[in-house]
Order: sequence, then C-alpha cells, then structure tokens
Amino acid sequence: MTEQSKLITAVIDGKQVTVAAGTMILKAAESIGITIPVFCYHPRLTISGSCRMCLVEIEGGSKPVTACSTELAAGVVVYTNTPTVLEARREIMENLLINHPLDCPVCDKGGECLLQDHAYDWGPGASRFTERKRLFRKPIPLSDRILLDRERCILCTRCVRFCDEISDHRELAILEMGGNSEIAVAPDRAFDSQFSGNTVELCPVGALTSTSFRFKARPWEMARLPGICPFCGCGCSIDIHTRSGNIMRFMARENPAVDDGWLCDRGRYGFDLSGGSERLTKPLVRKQGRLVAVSWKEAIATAVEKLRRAVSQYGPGAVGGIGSAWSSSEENDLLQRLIRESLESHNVDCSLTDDGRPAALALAEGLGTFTFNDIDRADSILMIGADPSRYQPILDLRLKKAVITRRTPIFTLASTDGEMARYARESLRYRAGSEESLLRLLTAAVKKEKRYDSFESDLRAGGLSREAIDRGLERAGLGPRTVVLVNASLLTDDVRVYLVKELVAAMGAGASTGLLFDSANGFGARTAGAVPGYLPGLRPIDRGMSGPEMVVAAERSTLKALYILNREHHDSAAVARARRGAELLICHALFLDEASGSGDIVFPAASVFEKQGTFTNTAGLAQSTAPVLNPPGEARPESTVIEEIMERLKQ
Amino acid sequence: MSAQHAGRAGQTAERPERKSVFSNDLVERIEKATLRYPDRKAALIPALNMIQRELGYLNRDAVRFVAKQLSIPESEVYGTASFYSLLGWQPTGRHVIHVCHNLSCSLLGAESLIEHLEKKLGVGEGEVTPDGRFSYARIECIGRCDGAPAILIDDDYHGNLTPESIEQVLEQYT
Repeated sequence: MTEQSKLITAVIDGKQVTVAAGTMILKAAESIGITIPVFCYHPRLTISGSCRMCLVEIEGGSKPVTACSTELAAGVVVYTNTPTVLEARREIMENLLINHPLDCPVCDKGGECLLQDHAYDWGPGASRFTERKRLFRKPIPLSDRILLDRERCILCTRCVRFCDEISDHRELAILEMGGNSEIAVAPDRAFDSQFSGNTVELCPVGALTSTSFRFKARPWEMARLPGICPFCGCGCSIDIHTRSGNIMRFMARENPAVDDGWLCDRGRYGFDLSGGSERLTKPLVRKQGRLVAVSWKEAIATAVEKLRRAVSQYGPGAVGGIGSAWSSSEENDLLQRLIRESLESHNVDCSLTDDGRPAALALAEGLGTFTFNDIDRADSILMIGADPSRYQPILDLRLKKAVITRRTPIFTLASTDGEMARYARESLRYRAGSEESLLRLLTAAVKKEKRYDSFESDLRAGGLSREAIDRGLERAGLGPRTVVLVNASLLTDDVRVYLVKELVAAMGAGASTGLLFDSANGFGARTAGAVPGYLPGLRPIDRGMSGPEMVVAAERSTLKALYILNREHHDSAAVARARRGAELLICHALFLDEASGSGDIVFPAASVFEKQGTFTNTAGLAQSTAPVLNPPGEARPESTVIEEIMERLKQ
Repeated sequence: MSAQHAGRAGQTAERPERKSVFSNDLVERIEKATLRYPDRKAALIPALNMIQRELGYLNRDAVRFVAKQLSIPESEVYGTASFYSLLGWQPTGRHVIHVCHNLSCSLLGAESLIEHLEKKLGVGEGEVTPDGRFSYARIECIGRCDGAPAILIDDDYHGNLTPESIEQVLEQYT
C-alpha cells in the first residue's frame, strides 16, 4: 500500500480535509482549525464516547454521530454547526447541568472549566429543571492529596480511564447506575497512586481537586511560567503557577521526549519547599565562635581571604569542593572552576557520600545514551537494580506504556521489590552487593559463554543462578534494539562500569543504555566536571579526592577547607564528620540547620525556582529553567557568588 | 441498599464469622465458575451472587476476596457489584422481599402494598424483622408488568397482589 492510498478526503463545514484513513472526525476537524466541544474525549486516553458533547451531522445520515468516535469516511460531508447539532449541544448542556451545583464562585476549577466554557458557548442559558438536584457530602477525600465533590462530576470517566490505561493502578470506578452513578475507590481504600494528581488536571470540571490547591487561588490570578520539575532525574516539563511571590501549583506541560504530558505526585505536589520566613536571607560569618549576619561584601572578602590562606598555608591539596547532583550544570561548572582554576586543587566531587566518578566514566565510555523515546521502540528492556516507579516515576509510565500497548518484554534484576517486576516477563532478585558477579554472569549468558563457575557461587548465595538468567534472557528475547536501564548508583567503581560496557557491547550495536540517576542533575553534574578526574565535557584531568574521601580527610584534618554547594541536598551526618577536622567550612544553604549552622561562612542561596540553570535529565536531555520567584532578602544565586569569589582570587 | 453504605457494612464485617463465609467450598465454586468462561473476570457476577447467597449481603471483605480470586482490581468489583440492585450491602432477613414500584406496579397499587407490608412486618425499607425472617426493599421493574403489582421474594415472583393476598404469600416463607 502506498502512502497515498492511506489518505482520504472529505468535507467538514464546507472545507475540504485530507487525513489518514481511520482518523476520527474530531481530529480531522481539528486539523483544519474546526473545534468541536468535548468533555469525555482526551487525546491521550482511549475514546469513551459517553458525554455526547461532540455530536455532528453527516449529510444523508439518520441522526447525529459522535465526532470523537466516528471515523471520517471518504467523500462524506460533515457539519458541525447545523441547527440539529446546536440543539443537541444545548440539550446535553441542560442535561449535564441538571445535577451540577453551579457553585462556580467557590469552585477551584472556575475560570478553567470545560463545563463553564461550554455552558457559555453552547448552553441553553436557562434550565427547565425545577426538582431537587442530587446532594452529596462534599468533598470526600479519595486520598490525602485528592478530594472529590461528587455533585460536580459529569461522569466523563477521564479519571477512571487514566487509572486503567496510563498508571494501571485501577483505583477508580463508577459506582451504582444511572442518576446515582458516582466515582469512587474500593471500600476502605485510598486513591494512593503516585500519579493521582493527573486526574485533577484531567477532570474537565471541579469534581476532583487537590488538597494543596483547594481554595488557594483563582486560575486567572496566577502568573504561569514554563519550568522543569526539579524533583527527580526525569526533568518533566511543567507550568509553574505563582501568585504574589508564591508558587501555587505545578501543572503538566506536555513534552513528548520526557513526560507525555503527565506528572507524578512527588513532582506535582513537591513545590512547597521554598518556605518563606525560615529561609536564610543574610550571609553569615563565624566570629568568635558564633555566626553573625554580615554584608555580602564582608562575607565574600572573608571567604576569599580564608580560601587563599588555606591554600598558601597547606597547599592546594588541602582544599576541596562539593557540587551537587541537584544543582544546575552552570553552578557545578563554576564550582569545579573555583576549585581547579582558582585554587588549583583537584578535589572536586558532587556528593559527600558517593564517589561521582564511576558514573562519569560510564558516560565517557558511551553508556547513558538512551532517550525516553527509545523505550517506545525497544524490542526488549533489561533493568538492572533500577526502580523507576520509585525514583524516576515518569519513566515508570513510559515502561508501562510499552508493556501495555506493545507488549514489550521486560527483564528486571533487582535487590529490592519494585513495581515494574509485575510487568516483567521475568523478574529476578539478587543479593545487594553481588552486582559485580551478576554483571559477569549476565554478560556470560548473553555471550552464551560457559565459563562462569568462579562468580556463580557468589550469586547462588543470593538465590540466583545461570539457569534463571538464561531463562530471563530467553523470555525477554534480547534483540537489536534492547534498552538496558542501570541504576546509576550501582556504579560504585570502574570495574562495574566496564562490566556494564561489556554487557551492552555483547548485546549488539543497536542496544542503548540508560543510567538512571535519581537526582535532578546527576547526569549534568558529571558532564559539568563536578567529579574527580573529569573536566566539563568529560575531558580527563588529574584525579583528586572523591566526596567520601574528602569527608575522611577533613575529619582527620588533612583536608583543611571544604566548599559545599546546595547544602540541603547533602548528607547532614557527612557534613558533621567533615566539620570535626576541617578548619574552614563554607556552604551555600537555603536554611540554617545544624549542618549549615556548623559552617564558618554560610551564603544564603537561591532556591531552584529563583535562578536560571540547565539541568540534564537521566536520558541526557539538557533543559534550561528561568527564575519564577525572587530570592528572599539578600539571598543570591550561587553562581554569582562563586563568580565574584573567583574574580577576587585573581587579584 | 446503596453502595454508599458499603463502608459501614465493611466495618461490621470484621466479625470473626467471615472466615467461615469465604470457605474453601466457596473458593472452589468460584474457581469452577471461572472455568466456564474464556476470561476469569467473567465469573465476577456469579462470584458476587454466591457470596450474597451465603452471607446475605456484600461488604468490603467480599470485594477484596473476589478481586483476589479473579485477579481484577477491587474498584472494578465494587463498581460492578454496586451496579446491580439485587446485590446489597446490608444484612438482610432470611427472605428478601423486593417490591416493584415502577410504573405499572405503581399504577396498580404498589405504594399501598408497601404501606401494608411495612405495617405487617413492622420495619422500614432495608431493615430486618426482629425474628430475622424478612427484610424488604423497593426495586425497579422486574419484568412482570402483566402481573402488577408484583414482588420478588428471594428468587420467586408473586403477582396480582393485594394487601390480603400478600399475607398468604408471606406465610409460605418461614
């Protein structure tokens, strides 16, 4: 069949339209700029055809048909605005409004409500209904995040379909029948899916609302700025809604390369961290044992002087810097320049508890090349120690989509329980710590090698065998387009990196590998050079101490000065250990807590919403964000502070 | 009657007797029912019916039990169970009287029949008589308009009823 023969031509409202055969009237109309009102239809859900709002007339047809679920046939003439169609819309609106409470003045959806908009555009203006509307106790909590006002519901089932088709958690159902129908969860169950917030956004009316936004703001009062969710390694696109200097909510902003228009609840409801009055608003410097608020000028001068003295007294090797896998690439780049260029030390890392280098080596060796869209096309997926459902939730939806729509076989190997195991053709457990043996065994199995005795005993102790792995590989059917997803935190040393590389190489040229970082910029912090042994762009350089090594050295007072970015994202206990022996501890912090309060110089930082920056997601996609709020008080983005310190150090 | 009461019914179902209700025998019968269909899920209504017959009503535990047996979501079991008015959520009498109050039956005296029944039984809709013998509920059309006003006692139809004849009918059920 040629491309041409798959196209059909028809007429909608007098305009000729050519679309692929099988296109629904609604979409065909949309393609030529004709909008047909809908309630239950949603482009990313299956078609329900239950609300009847999209009725249109086909010339010669006996009665109106639903545009969302009727294929456009070749040569037909469709009308979307005949008296019959308009009358149908009026009747449907009148029907839907029979039981609707019309409480728009106190409804969170007011202003962005399809029911309001369609009533305005197509409604009859008056109701003939004089009987009692149905009344419900309102709202009922479906979970601690989601509330349901049943009398507002128009039973479009978008929320039910989301749970059935996208999250596959299937918590929602329609209860009862006819006029008594309502949305509900099973008895004594909560709607506790980590994707529940999407139903609030999908709800075309104000039936589903979120506890975090209920009665907080009217949609038209808020400024909307595009952003990137900073709460995991996925980097979903969001719209940040603010009012009077506060973030009111996150909404999804569709990015087919990442999120398919969905958000997880951790991201959607995680914004409440910038916490007003408790924020640090002035630079602090330790004087006679106590932290004292000082001017920026003094704080920076003190930092410059003390850093300079540490280097001249103890040598550059006694100074170290810790970036952050949760800070932007620009900030990590500046940090490593401060340490490497200005202070001439090689002690740079992005974590106090993990060596950031092996994952950087993996990236330098060409691992970590997968994209989220590779999942859609994969022949099979091999997951090693990865639990995206918990750490990269949007990837969980991507994987479910592959399994549900394409029956993509998945083979999971993990040391803990993960939701994806339920979707796997084969899921095996290994004992944490035996990853090296596991990788060797996997590679041997892929290569169909027989030599594996030496490391199999290690795995047998963890309940894993070559037979089980062979079976898993066979069921998953590794093909030329297998995607291998590896939990990046398993890459604790170079050996494991090379083992993963060997495994992927054994699979063939088409295989792609994803390193799953759970931090917002685990990928970018490494490509920005905030790791031992790598400059920006993963260019090799002399290797200094890793983060954990710096903590030990500081504790023993062999490392004298430690400069920490993004204090809130570092382990407090590690900061405390480093503090014990370090002479100088400088940190950028949002809050004054025990760890930041132990510093000698504490710079009030700008939160991720208060500054510009680039974050590279776990699939290597670099995305920039712009500030949506102003930092409180005198708090400043870290980058401007580091730049100034570097400038002064030159003098 | 209404599924909205399921939460309440669910709480009362914490009584120890429920263990014996979802017996091995019931598991076996549900399992057998699934074999009649190409898809296990299709045994949902037969399974709910079996439980309703044994326990007299459905509750939270019944929903969970059936969901587990048929490997389907609890929400789906709950949604389906609540759809049918012959499946209930509150304890019933040994015999359940369903009185049709749809058009034909109403025109031919269903309301006075209900009035008489309430007086005779001494209970309101959804309540159980003190001796545990009867409970009654209104129901929509049972397809016996030819015998209106009609009622259903357990699985039996009784038509062309009057306040007098309904008493004779009730006597058949002990």
